[in-house]
Amino acid sequence: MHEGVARAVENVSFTLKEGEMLGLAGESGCGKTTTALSIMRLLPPGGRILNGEIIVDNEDLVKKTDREMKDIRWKKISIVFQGAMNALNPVIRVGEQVAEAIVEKEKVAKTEALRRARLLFELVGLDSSRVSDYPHEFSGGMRQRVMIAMALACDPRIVIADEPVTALDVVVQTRILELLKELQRKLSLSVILITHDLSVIAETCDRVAIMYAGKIAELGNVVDVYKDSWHPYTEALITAFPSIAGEKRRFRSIPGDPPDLTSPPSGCRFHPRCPFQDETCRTRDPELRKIGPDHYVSCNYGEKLRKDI
Amino acid sequence: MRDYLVKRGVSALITLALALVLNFFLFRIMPGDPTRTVVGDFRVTPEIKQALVHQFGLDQPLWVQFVLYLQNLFVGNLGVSFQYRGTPVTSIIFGRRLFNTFILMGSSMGVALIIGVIIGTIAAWKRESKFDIGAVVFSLVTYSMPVFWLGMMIILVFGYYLDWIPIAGTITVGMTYSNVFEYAADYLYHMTGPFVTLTLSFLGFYFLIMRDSILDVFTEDYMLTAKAKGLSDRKILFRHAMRNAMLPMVSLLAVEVTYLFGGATMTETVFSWYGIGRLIYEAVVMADYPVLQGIFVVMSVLVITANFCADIVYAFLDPRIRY
Amino acid sequence: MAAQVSTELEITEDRFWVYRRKLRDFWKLYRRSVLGRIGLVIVLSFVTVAIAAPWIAPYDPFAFVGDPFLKPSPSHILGTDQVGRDIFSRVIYGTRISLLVGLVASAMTIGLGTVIGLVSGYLGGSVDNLLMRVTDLFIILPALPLMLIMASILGKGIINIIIVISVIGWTATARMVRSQTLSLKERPFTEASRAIGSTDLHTIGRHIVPNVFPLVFANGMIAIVDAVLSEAGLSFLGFGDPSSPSWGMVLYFADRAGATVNGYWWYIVPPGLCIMFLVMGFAFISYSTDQILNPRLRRR
Repeated sequence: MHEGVARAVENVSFTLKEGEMLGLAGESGCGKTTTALSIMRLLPPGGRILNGEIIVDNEDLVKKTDREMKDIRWKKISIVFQGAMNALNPVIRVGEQVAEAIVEKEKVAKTEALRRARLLFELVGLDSSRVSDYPHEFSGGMRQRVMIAMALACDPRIVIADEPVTALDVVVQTRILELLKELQRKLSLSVILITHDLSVIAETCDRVAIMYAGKIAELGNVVDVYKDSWHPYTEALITAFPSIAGEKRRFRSIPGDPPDLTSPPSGCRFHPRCPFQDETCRTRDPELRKIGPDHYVSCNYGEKLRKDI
Repeated sequence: MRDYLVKRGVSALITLALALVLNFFLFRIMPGDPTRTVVGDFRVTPEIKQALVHQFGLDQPLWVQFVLYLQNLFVGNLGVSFQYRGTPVTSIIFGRRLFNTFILMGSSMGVALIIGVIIGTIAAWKRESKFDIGAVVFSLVTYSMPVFWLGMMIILVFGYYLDWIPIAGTITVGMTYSNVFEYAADYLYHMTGPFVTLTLSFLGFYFLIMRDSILDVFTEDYMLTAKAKGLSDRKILFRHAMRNAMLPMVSLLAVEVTYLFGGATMTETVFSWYGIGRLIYEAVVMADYPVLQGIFVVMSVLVITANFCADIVYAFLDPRIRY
Repeated sequence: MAAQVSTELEITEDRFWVYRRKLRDFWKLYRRSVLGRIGLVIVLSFVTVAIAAPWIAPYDPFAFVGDPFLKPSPSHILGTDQVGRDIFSRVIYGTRISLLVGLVASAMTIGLGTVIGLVSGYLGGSVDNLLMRVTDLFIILPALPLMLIMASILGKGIINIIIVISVIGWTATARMVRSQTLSLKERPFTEASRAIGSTDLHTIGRHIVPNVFPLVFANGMIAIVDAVLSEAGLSFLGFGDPSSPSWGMVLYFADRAGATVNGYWWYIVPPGLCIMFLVMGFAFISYSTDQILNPRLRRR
């Protein structure tokens, strides 16, 4: 590993429609979390937004000052982190952690905020008496519910869920996903669901953006992208997941490793691992172009490949 | 929690037991006549000498002596002083001296802690700023200074040149006071020098540890959560970061009491402050072994108790231990 | 579908070259830290002064070369002490003693601490328990008063000071070495070494010690700091050797001469500053070394 500037996210562009769930998928290190943190302007020191716009309710978040962002955070957009042990402060009661956002942002009294916290707990399926417990007293799945309750505290319009179920076992995963879907419906939330697990997206999302090495490979309606994938990466990802109902075939993984973002490959970033790469791919970095009513792909040879397959 | 406290309590008792054993053997290994360490030389009258020989069983085998030593300890008999001609050690240690040392140590530890914690927190927040670098350099410098030299410098600058503080002593010799406030004022006036010295010498340490602790806490995930919630900087810093960063500090406080004894010894000696620290120095110079043995016992008890109290406080602060 | 075949070559480097490489890597990182460089410069300067003392000092530190209590002047940069010896020369020569005692005492401290830590960590069980209890005891008891008590029993002199410092200071190193040993004990290579029948001593020497060494080095700098400060304190209180005056002893004489109450700043300030800077030098080195060797700190 050496030092340098990593262009973690490049030319990522998508629209989140109101009330829809957009999935952001890709391998670890492809830039999904960075995108999410950028939206909330939470990049760590050393990270910078070079250019671009983030428009929410007709306002560009990139141009906001620190103070304005503080205001916007949690009120307009909130984020649910992977509820690993550390995302919640271990020495403060969970109810207070949920309530403090309400107190700070809506200037209500603490007792009122705690009352709302209790309601939120019920909303996410937790016993409301548990607001006075500490994080370590909860199991992984319940901690995730706490995180969700906390994220909903100030009635945000957008919720970003960053790998919300990755650390949980499959049974709990399903329950939490169902909860998310139900909440989204009930509260008309717009959700960005970040995960590396395509099956999760398939179950819950309306649209999906597949990211690779900091760029969007394919974007569009979930059905279109899954059933009619154009980008070789998308196709590889989908076939990498074995399906019980599908035909029996060899388990196929994608050879190679994701690139080092301080010195990405020339041309199309995926070309070293792409079975169809040729001269153009090595030199030309493809742009995202429209190939259907709600389907975009960034590949040099979309149509040609489809004819060959 | 109860299990935890019981465990720590037992541990403290075992350590105390070891300390008492060490104390016994330390003074018995002295080259020369072992009787001297307990009974003394010409400074103690023959009658008292006889009584002591009997009390401490000096004409008996070692293990009997040890048993008698423990028995005497139990009833609070720490022997008699050489330099004070037979005065019981207990009356020398407990009383004025202990009080003076407590006041000095307690106040400087408290002030140093508060300032160190607050400045440490702010410096960590403003990492690499002029404030931070200045504070770190200041702390490193005061930490590197020998305590006694710092005391001498303070006497030199503030006592000799500026005449702001008295050069030595706990109270002005030979003065009479019309009321307790005058007395307190004179007392505090004399305490200024040693207090400033002791506080300054520990400030740096607290600061550096707290700053370190907070920087560690900053790398935790829940700090990102707090920031994502759009909380004010103050809330994030003092409510989320500090509460967690204080935990290692509490464990440290117990260790601090240990260091404080050393610092107090030096400071009291330099400023002629009538306390336990200075007593150690005097007893060492005058080869007053019973007093030294007695101080060892008292010191051990104090330090071990302080550690145990810190354990209790820690258990209260960290909810993870409670259950 | 192409089949992928890969072979992994195992390159075993001679231990000497491994050390050299690690040292070089360490030095490359160390060179970049400002504090580290400053610390090194300071320490090396003092070492130079100590070695070159006979050539730098204008007078013999024990000779009576003038009237007592002379103020600083061109012929006596720091004036003279209460019996007419040149203070500047005494401070220069004091570098030797302070540095020497600091290094020797800390070496013994580290040596003792390492041995105890290794034994305790490696053997475990009741030996470990007992040793750790004793270690806890020495950590908890105040160092300076304990040192004073021991010094009063043993008597004055440099050797006694060194003994006292080592006997009381080994605890920090012991604890650290022990925890390292414990974690290394569980590593596969230790088990492998035992499995092929190496004696315990061989296992410790060949596998555990090299891995413990870097940490001990960083800790060593702190040990030197403690040793220098302890020696200064003990000397100041009168336990040093008048025939080998360290900076602490010079201050002892200064105090006896009433330098503080009479305002002889030239007698008090220089020795103290020397102690301070030497300590700072080692502290900086320790800090920089710690930053490099402790991966947890690098994350910040």
